[in-house]
Amino acid sequence: MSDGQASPLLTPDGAEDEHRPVGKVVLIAVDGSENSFYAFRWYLQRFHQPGHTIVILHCPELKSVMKVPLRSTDHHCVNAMVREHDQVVTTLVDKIKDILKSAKVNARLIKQSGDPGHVIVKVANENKATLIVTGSRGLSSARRTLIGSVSKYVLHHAQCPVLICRKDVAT
Amino acid sequence: MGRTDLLAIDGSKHSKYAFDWYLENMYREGDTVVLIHCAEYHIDVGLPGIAADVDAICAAVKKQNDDIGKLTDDFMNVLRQKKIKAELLTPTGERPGELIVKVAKEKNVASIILGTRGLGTIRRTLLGSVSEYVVHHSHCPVTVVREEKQDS
Repeated sequence: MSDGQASPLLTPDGAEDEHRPVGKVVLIAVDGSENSFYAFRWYLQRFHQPGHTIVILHCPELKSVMKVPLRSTDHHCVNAMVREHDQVVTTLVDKIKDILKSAKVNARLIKQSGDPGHVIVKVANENKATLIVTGSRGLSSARRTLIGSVSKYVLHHAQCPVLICRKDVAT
Repeated sequence: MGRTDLLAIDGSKHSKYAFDWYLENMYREGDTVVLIHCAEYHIDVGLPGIAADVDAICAAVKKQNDDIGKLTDDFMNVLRQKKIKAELLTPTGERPGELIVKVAKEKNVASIILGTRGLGTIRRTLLGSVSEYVVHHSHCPVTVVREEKQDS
């Protein structure tokens, strides 16, 4: 894994065959939340081995952005919310890229739209992932459940081991 | 500077798979493994209302103990052969999920690894009750090891 390479491969949408990752693929699902960032860092410190190929899957869920009922016809208002959300996510993804670069670890970054749970499971299957890493909850503001809906979905429907990384519990 | 991981086993092929998967994919040189077996006993005491056969129950309990002993020995032998620092715990008294979470906290483990389901016979859920409980209540990361889809 040389550090002279250009920044990690960035595929706009989905994976192309010639870039299919080799070795044990670990899929890390991030959504811009602190939880998923923690899960990523935890994986890198605790789990990562040279034989693992990291695939960072970024699947933004705009549903969680719309905190007001969409009766608002104010374009500016909606655009502002979407932009703010994008900014949060971009900041986090940049942080991840920086950490990968300084750790001299190569990773693929995939960004896909759609229902996050389904997308995560689909991409994991496509890449024959050895493991899926996810936080326990994401950006959603609902705090009544111990585990978020996406993590729950992935846990139940993945066809490979799933690592649920909790951050919000006091140790 | 290794970490400590907690592996929950119960005699099912799922936990054996999780154990093997852990060794192959997650274990790193210097880590310590805490193996925990706290599965509930399954003893058939016959129909309720009919005087229970005490001898039969005692024999059944002893057999379960022996089976568990053999099972945990097998796992510990594998760890010993690979020169992995390991500790075996076989607590009882509470529900397995609660015990796993409690021990993980007491031992301050880095993570918990377990299968999707164990010896239970109910197959309607996607995730067994113990695994479900541990994922929801653990204070540390939990890896649920799901086997690849097979025809079943």
